[in-house]
Amino acid sequence: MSNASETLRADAPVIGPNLNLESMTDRISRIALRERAHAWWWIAFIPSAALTLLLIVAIAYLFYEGIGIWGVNWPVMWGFAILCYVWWIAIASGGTIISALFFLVHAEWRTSINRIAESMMLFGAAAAGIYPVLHLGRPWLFYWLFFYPNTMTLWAQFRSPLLWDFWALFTYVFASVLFWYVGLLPDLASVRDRAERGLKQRMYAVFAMGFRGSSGQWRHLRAVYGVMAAIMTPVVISIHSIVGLDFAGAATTGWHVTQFPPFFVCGALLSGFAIVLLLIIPLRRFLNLEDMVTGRHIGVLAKLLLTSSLLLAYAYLMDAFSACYGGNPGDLALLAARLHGEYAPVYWGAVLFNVLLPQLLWSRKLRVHIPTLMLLSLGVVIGMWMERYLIVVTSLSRPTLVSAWGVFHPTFWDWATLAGTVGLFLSGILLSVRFVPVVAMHEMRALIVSAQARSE
Amino acid sequence: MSPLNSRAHLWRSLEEAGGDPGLLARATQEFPLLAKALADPVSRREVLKLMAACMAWSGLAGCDSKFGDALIPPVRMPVNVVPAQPNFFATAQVLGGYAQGIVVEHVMGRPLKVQGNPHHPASLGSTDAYAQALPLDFYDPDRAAQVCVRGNPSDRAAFEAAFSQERARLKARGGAGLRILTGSITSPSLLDRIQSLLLAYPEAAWVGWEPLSRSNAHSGARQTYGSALDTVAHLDRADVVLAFDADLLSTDPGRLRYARDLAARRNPARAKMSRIYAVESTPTLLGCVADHRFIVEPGEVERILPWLLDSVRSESPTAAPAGTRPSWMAALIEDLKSARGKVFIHAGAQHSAAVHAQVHLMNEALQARNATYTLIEAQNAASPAMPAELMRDMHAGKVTHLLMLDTNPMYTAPRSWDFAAALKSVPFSAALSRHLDETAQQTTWFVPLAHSWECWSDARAYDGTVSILQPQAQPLYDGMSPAQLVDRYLQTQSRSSESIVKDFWRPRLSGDFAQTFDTALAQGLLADTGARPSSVAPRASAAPASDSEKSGNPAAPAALSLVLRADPSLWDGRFANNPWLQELPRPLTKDVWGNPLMISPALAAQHQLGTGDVVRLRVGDASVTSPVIILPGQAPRTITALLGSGRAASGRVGDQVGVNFHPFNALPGTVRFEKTDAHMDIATTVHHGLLGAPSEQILRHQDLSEFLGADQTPSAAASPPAATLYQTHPQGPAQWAMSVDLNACIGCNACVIACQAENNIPVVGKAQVLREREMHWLRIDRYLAGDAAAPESFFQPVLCMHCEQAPCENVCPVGATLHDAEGLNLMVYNRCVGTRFCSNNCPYKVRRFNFYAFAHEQHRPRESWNPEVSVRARGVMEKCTYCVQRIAAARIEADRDSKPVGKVTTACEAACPTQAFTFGNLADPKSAVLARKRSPLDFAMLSEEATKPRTSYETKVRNPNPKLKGVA
Amino acid sequence: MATLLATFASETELERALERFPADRWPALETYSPLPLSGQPEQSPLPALMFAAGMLGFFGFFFLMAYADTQGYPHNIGGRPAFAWPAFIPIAFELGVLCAMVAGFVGYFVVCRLPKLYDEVDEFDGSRRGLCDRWLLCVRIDAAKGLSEAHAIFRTLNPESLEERA
Repeated sequence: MSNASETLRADAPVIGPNLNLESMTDRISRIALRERAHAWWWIAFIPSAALTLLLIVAIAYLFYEGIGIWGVNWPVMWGFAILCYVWWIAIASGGTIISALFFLVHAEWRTSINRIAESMMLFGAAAAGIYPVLHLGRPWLFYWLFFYPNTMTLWAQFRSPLLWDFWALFTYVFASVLFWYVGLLPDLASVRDRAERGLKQRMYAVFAMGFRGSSGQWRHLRAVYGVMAAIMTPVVISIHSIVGLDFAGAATTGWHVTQFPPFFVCGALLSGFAIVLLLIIPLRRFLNLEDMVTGRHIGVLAKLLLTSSLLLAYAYLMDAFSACYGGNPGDLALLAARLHGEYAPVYWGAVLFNVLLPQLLWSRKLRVHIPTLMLLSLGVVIGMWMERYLIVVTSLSRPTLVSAWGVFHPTFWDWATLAGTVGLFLSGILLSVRFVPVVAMHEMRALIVSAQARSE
Repeated sequence: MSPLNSRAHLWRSLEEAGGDPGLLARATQEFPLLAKALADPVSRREVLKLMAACMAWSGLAGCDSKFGDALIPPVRMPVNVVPAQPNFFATAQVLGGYAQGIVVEHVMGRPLKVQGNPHHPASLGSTDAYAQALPLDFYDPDRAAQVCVRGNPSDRAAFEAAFSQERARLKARGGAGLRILTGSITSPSLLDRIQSLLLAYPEAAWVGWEPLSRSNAHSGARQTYGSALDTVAHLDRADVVLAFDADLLSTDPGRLRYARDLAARRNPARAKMSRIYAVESTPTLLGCVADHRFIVEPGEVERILPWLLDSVRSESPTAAPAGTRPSWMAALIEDLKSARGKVFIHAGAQHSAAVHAQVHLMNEALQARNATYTLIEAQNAASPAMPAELMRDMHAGKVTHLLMLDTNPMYTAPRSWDFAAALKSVPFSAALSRHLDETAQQTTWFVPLAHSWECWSDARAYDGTVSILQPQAQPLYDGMSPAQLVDRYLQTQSRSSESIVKDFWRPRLSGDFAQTFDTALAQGLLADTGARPSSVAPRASAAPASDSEKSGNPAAPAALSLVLRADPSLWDGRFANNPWLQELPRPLTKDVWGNPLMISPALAAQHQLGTGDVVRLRVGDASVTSPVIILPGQAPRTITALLGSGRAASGRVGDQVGVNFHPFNALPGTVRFEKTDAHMDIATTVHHGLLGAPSEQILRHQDLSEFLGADQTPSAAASPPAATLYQTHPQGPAQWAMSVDLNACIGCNACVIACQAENNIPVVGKAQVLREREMHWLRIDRYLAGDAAAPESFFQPVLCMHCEQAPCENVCPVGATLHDAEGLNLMVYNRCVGTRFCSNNCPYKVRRFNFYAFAHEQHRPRESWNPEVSVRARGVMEKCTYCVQRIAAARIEADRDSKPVGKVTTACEAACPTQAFTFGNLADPKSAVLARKRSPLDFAMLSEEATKPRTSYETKVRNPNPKLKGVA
Repeated sequence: MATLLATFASETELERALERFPADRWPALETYSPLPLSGQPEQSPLPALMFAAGMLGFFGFFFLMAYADTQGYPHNIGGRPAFAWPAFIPIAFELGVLCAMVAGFVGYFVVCRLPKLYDEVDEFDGSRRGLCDRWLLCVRIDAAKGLSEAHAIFRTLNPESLEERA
């Protein structure tokens, strides 16, 4: 157990020196097998659960009254529902990038944090996934977006980016679950083998499906997991590009920009890395994972944060440039409103949090300085939300037709739903930390074995 | 009492209504109290919930069997009612005494939609917003249904008893102490009843009084010609129109006809363009379409006119004191003289008699009489007695019996009258009005007034033409017509309104009465009853002598002046309980649900006022607080207040909305004005303050010279479309399209209400308008160009453009909006899941969304919805359909008779007084819309979006006087 | 009929043991290891299966959409062509991917005969550390002679533990 004044080194090895197969497996399994949760876990979980309840209330009231309870209006027909959806899906995507893309490139630092990244992807996607349904004027009819034979032989309208998005989201959530579960099988088996007889053991036994590490099981698992990772990488790019197309595909002022798909992917990377940092920094301490999640991991994530923030900076520049270059009066008016108009605080807030502050990470020292990283990451999370606000709300409030200009005022229920999804996300993460092995043990073993080989 | 309880109570009584006759009375007893307890009109949900209660009540009235004939039993089909085939019955709408002919559309025996009467000279087939709103007025659940004595429920029998008693006493003393107060009346039969009453009761007196009075105009005519005269203008003959604070297009009895005639000369592609000068202190509809709008303080007109008159009369313009003479006058006078004989000069009714007298003289001097206008005897017969005398007598206690017919002095009387006190000194007073209104609550007796759709009557139009008003439905409530009540003084037996009207006309009509009368009913008017032009010459002494000293002392520039105007939505307040009109954006300020004081930007700047800031307005010792709204183009030192709001007892919708400014009518004393720290949100449908000048892409406008300079080749719309990636074009037998002439549009809002009435568009209430959720399918955008002090203004009706390449369609994930073969952009409500992407993608923002179950919460009587149009559910997008139900009807007819589909008229097109809208079939080479789209002025809104809209506009052209370039 | 389970401390020891148990003479051999064995051949039918499923999903749904818009219910949507093939691609891609993922997931459990909650190897105490830090070799033998031979071999290999169950 280390203390708060621990100093990290970005060039530290990915695993601590005195870590062997048994101790690693033992420590990770024990986290999952604990009889009673830590105090800190309850302290974190109770408020999260309360927020989740708030979400349930907000949804019930929404279904009872209609979306009039939100701030959406004419002309700002899309409000918090869409912007929070985009925000959450970006957070989830960051997790997938870490667990899938960096698996393909054999980045060894990814091993110990990919389980956390995957949980983040899972519950981020869950929080995002409910929004598109709530957003509908008649949510109980959402299934009309499916392909299904009906008496009127009516089909969905395949030209709509919204439909693409619906299927991209559906695929993404579904595939994420499969990917996560396949990677989880051996670890569930390990926990099963270490559990005392009883309910817990049976539960893990059932979920482990009888995986025992026989040669065939391993061989096929590697094959499937590899291909899945190879698939998940383009999927995560696609979902975010398609979310971008929701906007770029529309003729609306401020949306009709070809750079949106890559722009949105950059945003996804940035917020994904920020949230991973926000999660692993406290978890490694609370769960005593300092020798598995070392300064190396944090340093690498900090570098990635910096890189993606530079990418985003380029996207911001291009956004402003294309408005000026295109010279459409609507776009120019919108740009003016953002640069020095009523939306300037939001715009400059986004620039500050997403672009300017992350530049601090050029400093080697700050890259492993815990408090700085926490604050920067938190800033990025807020900054990304502001960016979504800019894209969704401000564009709609400034349509080409000046007589239709409007203002958007979020209501209590807008905020309640947002807070509720945060609660949902955190509860999900906490539950997974409590019952699911937080580190991919079978991948860690490879690291440990090779490290031992090197030391001999 | 909570709305829920009240509803529960009324439903219970409805169940029992059959058995217990006394129960109706008890139910009514609840009602006035209930009405007080309820109704926060600001919160939509309150109002609408409460309306449920009244439905139960109107139900009671409906089931009541005491109206002669039984209602039509559902088992037997009523005579000449064919299912799904509307019937049309002509009648008239009477406002301020004058009639505009209307035709009421009945579906399955229910009057549902109002259209203009093409035969009627004051309508020519079009209507104003008030007429369009009549159905909701008729089905208003707040209409009083019960005779009341001192505010408590009673019944007709009791009233008859008391009445005949009093009648005997009056008869004995020759009617001494009897006074009859009415509004302005042109109804021949009612006048006849009143005259014969005055004969039978020589001591009695009749006082006619209208809050929006035309008496100044009449006395002005008396000064000039010795008798009260009405002016009948023929604006289509006028090359130059000069108007001082015009009401030609707003409250003049001939407004609809004038709008039509004016528009006939405003589109240079179709006719020689006229030139309009408006001299006014507060923007009027005419001022907004004028080519030159000169802003003057109210007092100034009196100063300017004498010079103008002299210069017009003499060859050389007379010099006026330097500095006091406006820079624009020379050019104006020159223009007037050069157009001699083709000029029309007009002054608003609220101007003083002297002004009207001088205007008459100027018109005479310019040989305009009988060229651009004629004079006829005043149609609303002036009552011998003046209101002032009545008030004197009342205060002196000389009045024992006061009969008030369809007038509401407790609300409309000027403060100087102190009417409340005067009324207390009258032992027997009776009020006949539609609601248990401010006056009715104070009188001894209250008798419900029959709605003009429930009884027989007649009225004259601005040119004297007589219309017979026939009932349109079985009375919903047990009401009396004014003539019936007056008649009760003359007959022992009460007569039906029908027999009164028929008995009056029987001796006066030539030929077979039944036939002539039926023709009159069918036509909606009695043929050639129009008044003959009077030939009376101006009196020699008519030259205004007393004006010189007036011009000597110009009004001190510092002084503020308060002008009162009729509310463009609520008239004088009689429509206050009509939710359609309360939520109708006012043409110039676009505000709804309230009547903020209108002040100039300069005054606002001086007092650091913003729209919505509350001020305290003092005139003499009277004072009131009201929010302000900044109105560009307002004279700097002028404050405009709209009459018609601030009702205390209009009903649930209209109560406590805005401020009542009637008491300030003709109130002496200086106007003072200070800011308070209070602020009140003004609900407007323009959500971001003052609009900038519209870009070429949105609204095109040019001067006549530019138009004449440009080549007159048919515009793009008629020429083959530009190359495109997509070659799918609708291939149907008909191709529907619309053209909107911006030169014709005067922003009068008739189309907005027509659309709302035809398409079952719900009202959302102030709270939701503040949240930018109004539902109008057809809105009129107003743009301002130039400086805020004297801007140039433009009206642009915006409705669904029915784009051939509609951006809304290809973003809908469920295909709820798509194209049909005839070029209509359809909205399938049942398929809509409410993603609202279509609205985001609509460049014209014409789509409206049901954020709540607006329509279902509105609780208007079920029978008042248009059965041809589905009422939209919560969470569904909606928009203009080009009145697809009317197109469908035409298709069915065409299929039935196997002929090509015929002419279809949309609701907005039918209502429009200026024929700004032209709708039709592009595939028909002879169609009017095709002709209009060939106009060189034709342009498509936001054409850069490449949406190929089927709705296009005609460029706004102005005809300024070249000599006035750069002169303010 | 008996089963032997030997546990080794490292993969190298297990590999040495495997050399002593050639597959042709010892058909019923199974190894259990805490992580994939490095020396193993990689062949697996699953990648091919996933690719096939992905292709099927992509083209299947592409043609479904093409059919729906051109034959099933041809609308005039914003004056766009009925066969708007570029618009069909995103959904076809997503659904193709989904098919591949599902095929891989289901395929894995089929190929590995899972779920299999009970296996006779669970009876050995040594199996509890199979997914922690021990490499296991499990031999099933029908004949008594084979059993003694296996014992002989194991003795030379001296595994950490050797268990036998009838």
